[in-house]
Amino acid sequence: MADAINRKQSVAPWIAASIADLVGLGLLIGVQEPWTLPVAGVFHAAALLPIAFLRRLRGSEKSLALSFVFALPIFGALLAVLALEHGDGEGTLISDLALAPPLATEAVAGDFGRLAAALPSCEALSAGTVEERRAIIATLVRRGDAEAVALLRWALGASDPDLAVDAALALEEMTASFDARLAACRETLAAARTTGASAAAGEDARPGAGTSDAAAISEVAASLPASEAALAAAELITHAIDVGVADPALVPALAGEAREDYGIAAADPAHADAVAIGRSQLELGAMRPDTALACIDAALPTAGVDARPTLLALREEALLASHALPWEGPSALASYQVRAHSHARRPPPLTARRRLGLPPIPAASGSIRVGPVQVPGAAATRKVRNGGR
Amino acid sequence: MAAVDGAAYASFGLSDDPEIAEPADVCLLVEGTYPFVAGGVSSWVHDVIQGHPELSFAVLYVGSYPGAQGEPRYQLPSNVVALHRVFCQESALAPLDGAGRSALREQIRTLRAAIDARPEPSRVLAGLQRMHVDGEAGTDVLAALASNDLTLPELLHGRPSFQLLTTIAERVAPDAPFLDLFWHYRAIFAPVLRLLAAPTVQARCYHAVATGYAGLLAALWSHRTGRPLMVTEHGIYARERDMELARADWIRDEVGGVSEPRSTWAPRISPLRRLWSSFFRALSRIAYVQARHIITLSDANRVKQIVDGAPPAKIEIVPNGVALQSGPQPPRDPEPPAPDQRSVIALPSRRMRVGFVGRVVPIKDLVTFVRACDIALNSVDLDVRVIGPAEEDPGYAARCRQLVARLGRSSSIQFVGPMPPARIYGDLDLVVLTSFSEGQPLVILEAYAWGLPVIATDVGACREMIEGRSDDDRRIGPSGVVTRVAAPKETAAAMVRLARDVRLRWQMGAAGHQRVTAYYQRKDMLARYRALYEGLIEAP
Repeated sequence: MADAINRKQSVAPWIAASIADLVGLGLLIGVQEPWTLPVAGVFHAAALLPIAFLRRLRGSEKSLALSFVFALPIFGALLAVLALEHGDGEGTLISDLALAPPLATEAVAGDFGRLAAALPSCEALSAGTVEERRAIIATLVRRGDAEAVALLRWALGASDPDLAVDAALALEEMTASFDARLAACRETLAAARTTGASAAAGEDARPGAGTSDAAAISEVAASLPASEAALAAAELITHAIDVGVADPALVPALAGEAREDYGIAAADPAHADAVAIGRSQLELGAMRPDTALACIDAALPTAGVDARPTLLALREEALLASHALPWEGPSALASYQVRAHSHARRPPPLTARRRLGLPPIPAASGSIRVGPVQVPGAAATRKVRNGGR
Repeated sequence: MAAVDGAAYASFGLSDDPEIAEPADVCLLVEGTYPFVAGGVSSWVHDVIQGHPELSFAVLYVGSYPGAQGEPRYQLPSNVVALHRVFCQESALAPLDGAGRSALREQIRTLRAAIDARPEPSRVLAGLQRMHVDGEAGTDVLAALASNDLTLPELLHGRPSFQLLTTIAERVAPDAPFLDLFWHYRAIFAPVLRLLAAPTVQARCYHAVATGYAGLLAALWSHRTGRPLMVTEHGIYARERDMELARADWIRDEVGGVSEPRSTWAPRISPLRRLWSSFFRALSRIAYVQARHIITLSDANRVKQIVDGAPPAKIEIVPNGVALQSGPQPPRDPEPPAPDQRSVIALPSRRMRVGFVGRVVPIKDLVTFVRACDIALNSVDLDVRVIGPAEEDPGYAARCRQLVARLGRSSSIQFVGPMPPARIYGDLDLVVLTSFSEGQPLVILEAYAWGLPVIATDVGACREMIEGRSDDDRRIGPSGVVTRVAAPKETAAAMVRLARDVRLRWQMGAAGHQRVTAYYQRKDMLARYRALYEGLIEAP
C-alpha cells in the first residue's frame, strides 16, 4: 500500500515535465518570434529538472527516464513511466551488477558445461559421443604430429572396443599414407639419380628420352636435383620416426636409409643447414642423442643465422636425451641393443658429460642426481615396476 | 511402374523380365558381394543356396555402377533361376560442349515448367522426408516410397525437391555449407530413386543379406508384393558405413587444434557426416521394421541392432556353420607331450605352421599380422603363410609384401594366394586373424573343424567363438587366444606361447573342434534357415 501511495505521489514530476514541454510547443506554434526557439529549448530543458531531482529513482532508472524525456518531448515522460513500471516486471531496474540476483541453475549448468568443454582430448575421446570421437580422430589424423599419434596409440588400449578399432584404423591410415609418400619419394630419388648419372655421362636426360622410367617420374626427376629429392625423402622418414608413425621394427633400417639420403643431400652446400637440422632430428628420433650432438656440433660453426637457434634448441634436447638412462624406458634400451655391436653392450659414450668435464656415470645401481632430479637406481626402478605388475 | 534406365538395371542371362518370370521361392538381395566378390558373405550366400536344393533362388545384386563388379567369382548353383543387377550410379557422363549445355538448359527449363504444373506433390519426396528427417520407418513411409512417383530430373531440378533440401539444411545439417549439402543430397537420394525404379523381382519371400540399399529394396518389394521379408546381417551395416565415413576424405571436419579446449573444436563435426550416418541408419530402420525375422550372428551384434532400431522380438541369433569331416577331425599336432614333460622349453620338433586365411585387404590388418610374426620370429621358428586373394587391393598387398621384405622375413612369411580349404587347414598348426572388423568369421569355424587353435582380435563374434557364448559353451574351454586390435606384441606373445606349448595348442584345437561340433555345424544352420524359409514361403 505504501508503495502505491509513493507511486501516486510521484506522478507530479512526470506531469510537470510534460507541461513544460507543452508550454514550449505552444510558444513555437503560437508566437513566431526570433526568441521563440531558444525559449522553447529552455522549457524543454526545464522539463528534465523534475525528473533529475526525483529521488525515488535509482541511477539507471533516472538515466532512462531522462533519455526518454529528452528524446521525445511531451510523450517521453509517459513512455518513461511505462518503461519503469513494466520494464522488468518488478518496476525496478538493476543498477548494480552486484545486486543482481544469481541465475543459479543456469550459471551452475554453464559452469559444468565449460568444465566438460575443457576436458583433455583423451577424456573427450573416451567420454564423447560416437560422432565427437570420430571427428576427434579425423582431426588427429589430419594433424599427424607426435601428440596426435600418441593420443591414437593411447586410444588403442581403450576399454571401448569401438574406440580401439577407430584408433587402429586411423593409425593404419597414417602409416599407409607414409608408406605411399615414401615410395613416391624413393621413386623420384631413384629417377633423379638415374637422370643425374645419365647427364654426367653425356647422355640425353630429357624427360621421355629414357626407356625404363615412367614419364611422370622422369619429368619430376628431371626438374629435381638428386640432392633435393634425397632431402625430401630423408625429411619424410625423419618426420615419420619423430612422430611415431614408422613401424618400430623398421626404424633402424629407415634411419639408415635417411642417413644415406642426408649424405646425398649434403652434396649440395645450399642444403647444409637443412641436412644438419634434419639429421639431428633423425638421430634424436632414433634414440641416438650422442650422434645427434656430434652432428650439431659439427654443423654449428658453419651454420647460417636462421639455422643456429634451431640447432641450439636441438642441442639442448640432445643434451637432455643423452642423460636418459637405459632403464628409463624400453625404447632407449632397445636403441642400445640395436647398437650392441658398435657399443659392446654398453650405453654410448655420453659426449655431453665429457664436454662438460663431468665424471662418468657410476656403474653401480645407486641413485644418481641429474640436475635437480634425483633418479633412482636401476635396481630400485626394476623393483617398483615388477611390484606394479 | 516407371521406365527403368537400361544402364542402371540389367538381368544376367537367366531371366530377362523379373516381373513376368515364374516367382522364385526366395529372392536373395545382396549388396556388393555375391557372386562377383569372393569372401565371407559371398561364401555364406553360396553355401545357403547350395544347402537348399529344393528351393529356387533369384539373386539380386546391388552394385555401385555398371561394369564395376567384374566377372562372377562363383559358379551359380542350378537352383538359382535368375541373377539380376541393379546399380546405384550411372557410369560417368562425358562433359557437354557449349551447344550441349544450351540444349540442356532448355530441357531443364521445360522440365521445371512441367514439374510446376504437376497436380499433386510427390509421395516419394514426402516419404524421403519422413524417413530421413523425421526418422519414421513405418508402412506409410514404405507406401510413399513404393509409389515411385518421382523421377531423377524432378529430384535434381524440381522446386519441391529443393524444399526438401532446405528442410534437411535446417533440421539435419544446419551448419553445412549449402552448396556442399546440395551435392551430398544428390549423392544420397539419386541412388535411392534408381532403386525405387527397379522392376520388382517376384518371389515368395525376400531375404536381404544386409540392410542398406539391398535392405531398402527388399523392404520395398516386400511391401509391394505383400510377401514376407527376412534380413540377415553379418556385420552391422550402419556401423560399418560409419567406420567408412569416419575415414572418408570427401567429408571434411573443420580443422581445430587438439590442444585447444574441446569447446572450440569438438562441435565442428561435419554435419555432412551426420547426414550420411543418419541416412544409413534410416535405411536400416526401414528394413528392420518391414522384416518378419531379423537374423544376426552374435549377442554383440544383436545389441547393436536393437540400438539402431530393430524390434528385439524379431531378432534371432543363427550362427554360421561349417561342414565337419566325416567323424571328428583329429587335432593337427602329433601326440601331445605328457603333462609331466610339459614345460615352456618343450619345443616342438618342427616349425609351427601359422596361417593367415583371408583377403589381403586393409580391414583384415595384415600389416599387424606381419609385425606380430616378425616379433614372434625373434623367439620361435615359424612357417608363416598368407592364404587368400590379393587382387582386391593390389596396393595394400604390395605394401604388405614390401613390409615382409624390409623386415627380412621373406623366407619365413610367404604369400601363397587362395587355396581350397582342404589344402589350407590340413597343412597348418595355427590360424591367426588380426582383422579390424569381422562378423562371425568362417575362417575360425573352418580352423576348428580341422582341430586348429585360433588367435583372433576382439571384434565381432570372435571372443564368444573362442571363449564360449553360453555357460555350457564356456565349459569347453578356450579354443584360442583373443587379442586387442592392432596389437602385434599381444598377437606375437600368443603365437610364441602356442609355439612353445604343444600341449596347450593341442588342448585348444580339441576345444575348438568340440565347440564347432556342438554349436557351429553347417547342417544346424541350414536346418534353421530351412525352417525360416518354409515359414515365410507358406505365409499367407
